[in-house]
Amino acid sequence: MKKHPLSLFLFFLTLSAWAQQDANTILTGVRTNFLKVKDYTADAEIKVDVDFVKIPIKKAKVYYKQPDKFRFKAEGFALLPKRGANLFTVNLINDNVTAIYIKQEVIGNITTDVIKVIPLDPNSDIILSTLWISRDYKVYKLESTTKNQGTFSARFQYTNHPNNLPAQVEITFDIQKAEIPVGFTLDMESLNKKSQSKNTTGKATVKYSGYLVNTGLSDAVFK
Amino acid sequence: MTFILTTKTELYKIFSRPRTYIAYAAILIIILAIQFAIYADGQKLLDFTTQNLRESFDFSGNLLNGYFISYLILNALWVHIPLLVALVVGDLLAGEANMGTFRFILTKPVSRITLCTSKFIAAILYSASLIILLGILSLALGVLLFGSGDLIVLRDTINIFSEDDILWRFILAFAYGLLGMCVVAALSFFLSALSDNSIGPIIGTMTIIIACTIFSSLDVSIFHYVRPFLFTTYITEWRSFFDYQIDYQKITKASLVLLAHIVILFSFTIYYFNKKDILS
Repeated sequence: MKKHPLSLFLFFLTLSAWAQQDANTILTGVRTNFLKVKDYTADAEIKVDVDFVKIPIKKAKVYYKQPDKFRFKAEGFALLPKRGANLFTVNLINDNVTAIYIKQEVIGNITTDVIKVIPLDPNSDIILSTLWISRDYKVYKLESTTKNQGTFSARFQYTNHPNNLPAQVEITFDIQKAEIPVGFTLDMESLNKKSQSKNTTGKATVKYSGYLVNTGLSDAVFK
Repeated sequence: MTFILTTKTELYKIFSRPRTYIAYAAILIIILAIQFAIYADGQKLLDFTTQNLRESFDFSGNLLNGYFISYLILNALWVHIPLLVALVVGDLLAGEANMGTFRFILTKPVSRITLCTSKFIAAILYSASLIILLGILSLALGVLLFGSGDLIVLRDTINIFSEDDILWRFILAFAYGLLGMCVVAALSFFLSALSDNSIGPIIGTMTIIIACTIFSSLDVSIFHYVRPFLFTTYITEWRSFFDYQIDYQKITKASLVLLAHIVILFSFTIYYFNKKDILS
């Protein structure tokens, strides 16, 4: 039997539509998981690894409240990557995106579905993201390209938290080297030192523990 | 016993001169001026310096605190403290020669070596008092005005130290700073022995420091050979205590070079002063 070219086209169109729907179903699953968490408080241990920043491992308390309120308070001074440390505040798991199913991939021993997500909001800083989502709707990996800040990726590790909250996040991101004005530091020695490459890659690891979920966190915490 | 008595007399002489207090007043004014300037504009400058970091990170905590201000003030150490040291130490021998009091002093049963050593010890104690004042004022006033917190050090890398990891660094940095100022004192003391008026040693000390600082700082190959022998190459090594991984070998070498400068300059002073004809 000779295959009609139109039927082949229709077959792929149907397949594409199914895949598209599948991607949206997966995202909806993740969103449903997210919506169960109205707020949370957690202890965080932050390790920053950027070649021009030397900072010890810091302990902090992180606070989240739906839809996108997030704050962290540290003992002393601490840095927390703006993107990737909290999946809830990455503006991807909402209706205003186009999601495309790509393939299946195994991360560690977890089978994940790989989905490309394109935010439809023209003001969104993220241009394109790829999400690796397990069958129980946990995001295991995220890679994003932004308009102004290059790319960043995050790998999530989970223990057995009932709300599927991560126990560890490893974030890799592009960062520009800070130019330190000599007039401010009075460190004339640095004038002779050759400046390092302006763009570099940073890494941060955030370990979360002691989650307190849906405690009715006050808005005052975020002020 | 004679040595202690002579040293006490020399300290009394130093602290009875009005010029001694110019140094203390200058330190106080400089510290207050820097703290006022940072109070007014420090946050803006700090934000500017860390703007690349702020694009990638959220910040939590206060970086504009007393320790940060103290670190900035300590950076000014090698700019203005040598002048204040030279101002007093340059006068110790030359001033006596100028006033014609050496003959009177040396009629007492005190050897020239004892007298010279007492004057030098008094000079060291005076330099130490400047550094201690600088340390206490900058740290205490800084913490009082700006509070405490983690320390950010802006070098070729941005180093952030926890609050409980700062004080020992400051103590060692001030101690090393004192060693550097002892070299300046030894140089000024040596020039003071050569001269019969105190203006010469003060200007001479500053000229040598400025020239040597240029040789130490300029990245020109011709200076590479002399640089290891210049004390100005090592005088700012106190900053190494604010490195994330301290190179103790480098600091030990630098300290030994500074110590060698002190011993050599002081030995020359003793030798010259012993042979000097006291004509006035």
